[in-house]
Amino acid sequence: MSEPLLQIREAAKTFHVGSSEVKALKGVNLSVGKGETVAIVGESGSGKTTLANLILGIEKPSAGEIVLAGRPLSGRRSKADRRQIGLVQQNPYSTLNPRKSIGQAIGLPLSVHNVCRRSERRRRIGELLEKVGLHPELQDRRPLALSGGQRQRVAIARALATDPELLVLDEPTSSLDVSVQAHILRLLKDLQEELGLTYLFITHDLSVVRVLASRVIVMYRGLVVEEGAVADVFSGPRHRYTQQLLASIPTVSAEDDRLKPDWSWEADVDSTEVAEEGCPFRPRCPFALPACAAGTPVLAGPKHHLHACLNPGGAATRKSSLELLAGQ
Amino acid sequence: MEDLLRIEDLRLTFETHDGPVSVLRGVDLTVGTGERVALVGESGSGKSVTARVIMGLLPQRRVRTSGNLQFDGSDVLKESPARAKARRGRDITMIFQDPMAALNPVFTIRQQFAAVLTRLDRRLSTAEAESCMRTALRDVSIADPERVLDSYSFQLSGGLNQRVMIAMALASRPKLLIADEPGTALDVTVQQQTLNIMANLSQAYGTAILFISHNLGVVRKFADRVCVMYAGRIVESAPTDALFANPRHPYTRALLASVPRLSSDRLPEAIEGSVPDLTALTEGCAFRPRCQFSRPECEAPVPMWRHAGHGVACIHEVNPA
Amino acid sequence: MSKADPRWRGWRRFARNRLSVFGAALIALVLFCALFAPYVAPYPEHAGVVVNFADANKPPSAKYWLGTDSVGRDVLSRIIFGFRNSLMLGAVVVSLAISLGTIVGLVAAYLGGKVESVLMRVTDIFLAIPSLVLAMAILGISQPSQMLAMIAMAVAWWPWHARLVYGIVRSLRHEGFVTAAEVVGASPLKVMFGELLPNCAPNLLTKASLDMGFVILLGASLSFLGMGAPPPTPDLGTMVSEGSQYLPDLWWLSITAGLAIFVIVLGFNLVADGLRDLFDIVG
Repeated sequence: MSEPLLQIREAAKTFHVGSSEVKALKGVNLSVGKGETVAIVGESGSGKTTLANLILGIEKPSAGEIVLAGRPLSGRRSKADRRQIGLVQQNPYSTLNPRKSIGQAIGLPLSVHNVCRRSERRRRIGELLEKVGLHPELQDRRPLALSGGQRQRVAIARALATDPELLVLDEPTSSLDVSVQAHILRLLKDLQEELGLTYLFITHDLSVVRVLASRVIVMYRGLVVEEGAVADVFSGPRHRYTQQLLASIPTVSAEDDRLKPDWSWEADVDSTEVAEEGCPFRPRCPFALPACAAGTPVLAGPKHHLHACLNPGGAATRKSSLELLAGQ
Repeated sequence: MEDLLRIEDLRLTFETHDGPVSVLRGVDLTVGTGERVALVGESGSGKSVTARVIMGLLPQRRVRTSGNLQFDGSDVLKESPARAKARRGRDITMIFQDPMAALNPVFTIRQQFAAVLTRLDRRLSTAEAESCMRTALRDVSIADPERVLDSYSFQLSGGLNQRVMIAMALASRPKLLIADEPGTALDVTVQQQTLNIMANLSQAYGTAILFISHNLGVVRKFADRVCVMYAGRIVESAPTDALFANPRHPYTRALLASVPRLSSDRLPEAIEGSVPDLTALTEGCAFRPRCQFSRPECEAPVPMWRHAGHGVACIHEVNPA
Repeated sequence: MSKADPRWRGWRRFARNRLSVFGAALIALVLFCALFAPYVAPYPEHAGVVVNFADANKPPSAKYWLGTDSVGRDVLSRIIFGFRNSLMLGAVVVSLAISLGTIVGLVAAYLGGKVESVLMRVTDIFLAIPSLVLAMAILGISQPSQMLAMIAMAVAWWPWHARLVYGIVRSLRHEGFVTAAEVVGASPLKVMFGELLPNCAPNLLTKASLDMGFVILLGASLSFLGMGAPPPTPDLGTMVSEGSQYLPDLWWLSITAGLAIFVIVLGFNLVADGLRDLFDIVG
């Protein structure tokens, strides 16, 4: 197996808010191979956004290191480093400068990195727009004239302007209508095949993970609680939080219903009690054992499916995993 | 079950500086007493506008409405603004998508909730209001009502805020609760629990719910009946199970096909084309340009064909080619 | 420009606002006078050193439409040249103030931290001193001159722009497009002036229009107090000042100059309101 494109070792980030500390990330390890699509899944407070910010260079890690294509990334990113990573954000309505044209938005990375000569720029922007399914003439319009789906396509075009290796996609379709989302998902898949891109997908929407990602990493309150191949994790979630997450997916068919784990909804999901020690999910977990309150949970298990639960759910039932595998 | 809300051929046009824009083009919708009806549509379908018309929240100027909108026997379109105002917050209440935005951050929950209660009954004493609020919060599974009442909205989580809103909206035991994309701003696990609470409570109070959403999966767990809206019209209306098991309208089918599934890693089907320009619509079926079954006859006004409680606005149903 | 183009719609919105259009007309008139003063004024030489005691202190007549002043100069001509003076004053002061204020506000809001604290405290200090007093203090340094008056007023005026830009940039600091530019690798300068400044432009231009009126008033006040341009420069404020001693008999001396000031200020204020509509690209 060749060297991974992105590697994160024991990344931690603590924010100091006034006099108190917020440990957004508590030691996360992650590795993404070239051409893979890895999904990071979690809800608010999971630390997934902080992790993305560390990868993108928006924040500096308090501990640990981030290695891109074998080169450790320092706090001050070089232009060469920045060129390798593209970003697609969640909100299509704030990701483009309302007072600049589409061409100027896409032209920014071109000019910052001197990708091509000025005279070439217009043609290059046109090519990028065509690649994402938009008309090249759109580069003279302002974002106001575009729909949410179109703006998101522009965001993708902008992210691709420097021919990056890695694309970080932070909830790219969460703000879009479901039919528009379908278009964008297709576009992303096609682009990945065409350009050999590696995707790091951050989302809370598990059904999108199912169709786009090969590996999934589940985060809860700053820690990775489960990770593995999508088929394995979805058919046999071990960590109780993963089970709850899967159980809450709004499914649209009886077939999909059967694939969801059962979950009793009595325990207060919204408890804001923070577990200082032990498993962060313990306050909300109906299956917590006394041992769950002590020590830091450690990821363990076969290489393709790790989890950090002392009282995990059962391994995949034959029926459900067969069903999942049949669908592939 | 008699109809609490009956909407027939509701049309609504905004007079903008660029010309008239028809946002609602003949909406037919009914909600029975205690029924849970979902209004599903994507952006631009007109679902939020429909909610606001029912509430009487649209501006009087530059808006032309026609059709029949009856709530509990009264004609909402023809009545005075004063009557609509009296009904709002009492017989019909509404909760919104983002609980943080709907609650005022400079007042405590107690102050806001008390304001709601005193509006309903000016003679309410402080002690009565307090006890009412505590009960209401306990009804939405808030274990510590004191703490929540003392707090400001920004000190509480999204889920708690949403439950506070539900408590406030159901305090008057309304006949109809309109929920505009509730829980969309919440984490999916929290959303699930919050909607459960809303469902159970409204059932206990006999409140009907009009649930507006773009999320088919959420709606499926929640509603008795689903109405699918496209470009200002209801294109299909059926009991929930029937709609999901057997979607009849091509748009409904396409919409369901565009939802990613757990059962396979196949990419969902994208619907060809895009939402139509509301300023350039004719009387015929608005979905025609994107529909694989379209025929020349689709240009004529399409009636709603009903059979066994399942209504579809598609001539393909009546005369399959 | 197609109909859907937001710029066209902006102009249409502007045109719908009758008062703004009226204001624009006033400014156009003033601007015309200012630009073509030597050709528009009936007695252009009266803007300079001219003494004509025979015709002094004459009320408005067919020969001198707005009368003459105490040394026989045509009031109308002097007002027309006064327009030129005032507009130039306003333009220079507002440009200086906007430039300095924008840079301070932009840098403070974007860089944050200690830079922000220092810059904004300095701004606060300047804001605390009444502009007229500050201007007078600066003018007291040396002989009053047009140049010094302009500098003095710019110094009094920039903090307001700094405040305005600071507020806008702070609210936009963490918007998606700013983060996107930073992630791409744009330098802080590029982000500040390429991404954030265009978003301040509408507010700045509206404020600039409002400022023109106030700056001209401030300039007139300073001239009234004898700190403006030295004679014989035709200056509206000075004209009001000189004429005030003759009120109410030689009413045309002060009143006409005063009305002239009124026209300029009114024009810019009305336009300012409409400018907001012009740039109002919702969302």
